[in-house]
Amino acid sequence: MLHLSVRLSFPGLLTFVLVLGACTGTVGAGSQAGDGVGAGDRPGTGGGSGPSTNGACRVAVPMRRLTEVQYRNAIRDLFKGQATLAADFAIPTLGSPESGFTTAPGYNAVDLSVARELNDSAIAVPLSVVDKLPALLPCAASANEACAKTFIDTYGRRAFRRPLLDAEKATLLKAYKLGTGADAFKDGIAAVVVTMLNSPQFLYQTEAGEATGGDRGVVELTGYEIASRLSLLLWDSIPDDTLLDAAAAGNLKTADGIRAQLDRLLDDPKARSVVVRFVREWSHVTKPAAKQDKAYTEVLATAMQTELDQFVADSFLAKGGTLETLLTSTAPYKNPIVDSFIKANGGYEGRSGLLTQPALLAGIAHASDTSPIQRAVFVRSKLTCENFPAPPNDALTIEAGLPLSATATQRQRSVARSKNSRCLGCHNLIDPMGFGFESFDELGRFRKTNKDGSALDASGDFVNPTSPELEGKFATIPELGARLSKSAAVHECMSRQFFRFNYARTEEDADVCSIRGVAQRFADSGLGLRDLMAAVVTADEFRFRRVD
Amino acid sequence: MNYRNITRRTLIHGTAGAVIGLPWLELTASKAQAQAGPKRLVIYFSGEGTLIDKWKPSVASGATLPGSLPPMLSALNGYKSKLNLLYPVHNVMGDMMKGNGHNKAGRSILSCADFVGAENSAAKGPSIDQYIKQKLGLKSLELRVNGSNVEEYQMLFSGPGLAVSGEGNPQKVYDRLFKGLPASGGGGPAPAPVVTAADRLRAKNKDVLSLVRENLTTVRGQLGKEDQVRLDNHAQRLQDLEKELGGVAPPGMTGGGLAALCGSPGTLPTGDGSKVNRAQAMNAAMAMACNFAQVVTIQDVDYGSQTFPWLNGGLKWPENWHASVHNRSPMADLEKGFAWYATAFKDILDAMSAVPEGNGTMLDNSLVMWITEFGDGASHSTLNIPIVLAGSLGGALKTDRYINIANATSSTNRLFVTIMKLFGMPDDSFGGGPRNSGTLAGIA
Repeated sequence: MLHLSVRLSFPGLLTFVLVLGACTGTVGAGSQAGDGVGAGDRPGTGGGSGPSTNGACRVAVPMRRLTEVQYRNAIRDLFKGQATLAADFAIPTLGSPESGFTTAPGYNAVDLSVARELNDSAIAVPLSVVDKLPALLPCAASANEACAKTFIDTYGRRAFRRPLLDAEKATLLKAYKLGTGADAFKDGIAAVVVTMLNSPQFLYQTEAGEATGGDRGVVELTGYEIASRLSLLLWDSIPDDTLLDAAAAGNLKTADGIRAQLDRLLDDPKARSVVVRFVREWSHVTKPAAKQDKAYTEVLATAMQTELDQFVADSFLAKGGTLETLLTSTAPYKNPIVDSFIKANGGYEGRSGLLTQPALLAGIAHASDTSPIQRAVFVRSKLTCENFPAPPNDALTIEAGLPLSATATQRQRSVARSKNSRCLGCHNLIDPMGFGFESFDELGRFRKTNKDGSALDASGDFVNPTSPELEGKFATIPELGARLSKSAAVHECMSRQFFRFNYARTEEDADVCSIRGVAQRFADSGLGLRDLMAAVVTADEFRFRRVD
Repeated sequence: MNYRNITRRTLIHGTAGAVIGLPWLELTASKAQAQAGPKRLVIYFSGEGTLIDKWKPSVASGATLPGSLPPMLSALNGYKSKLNLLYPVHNVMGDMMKGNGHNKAGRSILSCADFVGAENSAAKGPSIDQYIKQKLGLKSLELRVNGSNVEEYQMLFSGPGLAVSGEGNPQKVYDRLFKGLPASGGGGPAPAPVVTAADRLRAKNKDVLSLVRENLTTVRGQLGKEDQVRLDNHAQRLQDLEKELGGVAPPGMTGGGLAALCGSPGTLPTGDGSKVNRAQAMNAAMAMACNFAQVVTIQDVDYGSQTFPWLNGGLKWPENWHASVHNRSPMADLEKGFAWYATAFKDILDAMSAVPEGNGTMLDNSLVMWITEFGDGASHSTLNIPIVLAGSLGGALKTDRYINIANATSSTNRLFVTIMKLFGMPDDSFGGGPRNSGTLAGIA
């Protein structure tokens, strides 16, 4: 997978000097690593295996270790807020997440430092609760083996997210018996917790499933495994007792049964931070970095991020929120600092949902200037899922060789790139769209003239998109936003991002079926963002798993 | 690495017969004395290259270093007699790889290996630190500065696709290694032993981990092949952890137990990244003095937004450090920032020089390499990398030299083969690429 995306740390005007070749023909044509759903599978081109809504899709899903965020939440929920993690608890991560989302298995692999940290935490957590046992375990006063068994059954079910097997109960009882002496009961319970928290049953989402009787390459997930999928996907935490009870009653084995839990899960405050994480990891947009303009303050930048978080959480979770809301909303900002800032600087003219969120416009810009290139790459890579190659190693040399004066404007530089054989392949796709964002300066303020007072040309052009309905010039960002919100390419891209988020890996050719199916049901539902999440969790492949 | 349990406190528990029996306990009680230490390898990594025209000394290849080192190295003037400066060293593999400019440089810089899978995945082979550690049966300590997460600059690997992380919090390293030990040099008495619930639980940790293995076995049979491999890898790490907890003596300890100077490094400096760097240098030197590790890496992970707040109130970049490096501007600030890394490297040399060994210091018995991923930071090229080597491995390596490497023969692979030869290893090649065998001429 490509990490070109929106690296805000790329330099000045040299950003994304791309090579011809990789961008000839169609960008994102299946030859790119990680771009499993390739050109031949574009919507409307009739390639690939086509939309599937009939439940035929099967997805291979790797075993996932709890991320640090999930681990923290799991400990909180396991002990009902009574446990405390070590103040310096932090699980080291390994490399960059290949799927782009922090759930990627490689990113959460266990090396010795990670194993040590997990073990340290497994010891710290019980020490923080053993003196509160009466509140957590009604039988604690009896301090006997029967009570220990109750603890193992109750907390084991929550931690392992299913009733324990006899072998697991026996193992945990052995841990209990390690407690001896005056504090035998407390020490024994603590040893049980250390064992549980170090065990793969707690640390990983393992999905053995059950044989379906038919296809040997497919298993049907148990109700408990589906409960784990739901809660870790939508809460970044372990299932609550209600969800486990639904699993026990066999209510999660059908799409309807899952649908019945969904509103409850999405209405819980725990879902908000998950949506925010999804958007941050997908968009790579966070708090805008410092600007030379004195209007930039830390307070303003933080407020911009808060506004963005609130906007996306509301768009995804409020009933009635749609993709159109996300991409074209003109509602005033709820954050008072951002609202005042926008009102005092050109007002709300030209606003269009996510695309004109101040955090995004300021975040995808340089310290003293806008970045048409990065803004366009954001749209094309994040919203229509095109892959652009990394700039070539000699990008600087190419840039230096262009016939340009030192004071050349961005438009002049773009014209020079459009005539250079090594630049034009990609930049002719990128630059024309980027200039469409020029109505917004590097702090996200609306403007009608350039900084030097000259007339501003903020028209844009979506050149050679992956899907024909996106093609053509646009006069304003709201026009672009409306076009994007109606495009099948964007619906499929959203589905693709959710696939990566949900299944913790980059998609492969075989996953077209799943991605298309979810996109289709998302579109059929009227593009409700809750419906998108419903389409993901009620899909057949959410309940069945391909096995090797 | 973790010798939490090889601490004064544990020893006291051990002698009281209360908690854990350490099979090598008797060794530690003996008359440790200043003896020539084992050979050690320390690798310090700083990001984004340097300003090479202000790094390269203007002397002939093989010549003695000038009394005043170039501006990017001037913090090291006092160590001139113990240095080798090598230039240019080419990361040929990194130059051949496709992918994000940071990922490919990061993965290959110490492994000389391509991605194991898709672009930007882990490296296809071990990094040189882990390889030497494994081949020589040594112990390693992986430290980080300016953060804990390396993301694109994941550069340590124990094998194909097996990334190795590190600890960016010096106090955590300290607590694991030295808690309860008196200060180095035989400071005051050790703290009185108080057996807490935590101690009792830690004492059972090894038993608990063997129960965890039972749970692993229960799950394993339900998994597919790829997941089994990942679970087995996890199981292996738990076994490593058990070994640490079991008090198995590290290699090199059987001769004389803990060295006389083994002890806690004292109070660690806290605060900004420069303090963290010094604290990690102190941890590193004392971990080596105690023989808890013979291979140490210290990676400065902030290559993107470094602001050097410790430099006269900090440097204010127009965008950020990374963009400024690309743009070669503002040059005056870039000079200050890049020159600071020499100060960070000096912290390591200072800490190691403070440990007497044989007729010299720990530094003399070691090889300390400063490496960066780029030659020219502005173009993010993995060619023309500047290398600083400090220490002589007990006299095996001549020092006080500038060595100009012939362009057509240069590679990081050959640098690492040269280092392996200095450690007495038989290897003639390392990693992949066209120049992966042979040594760099004129060094050893």
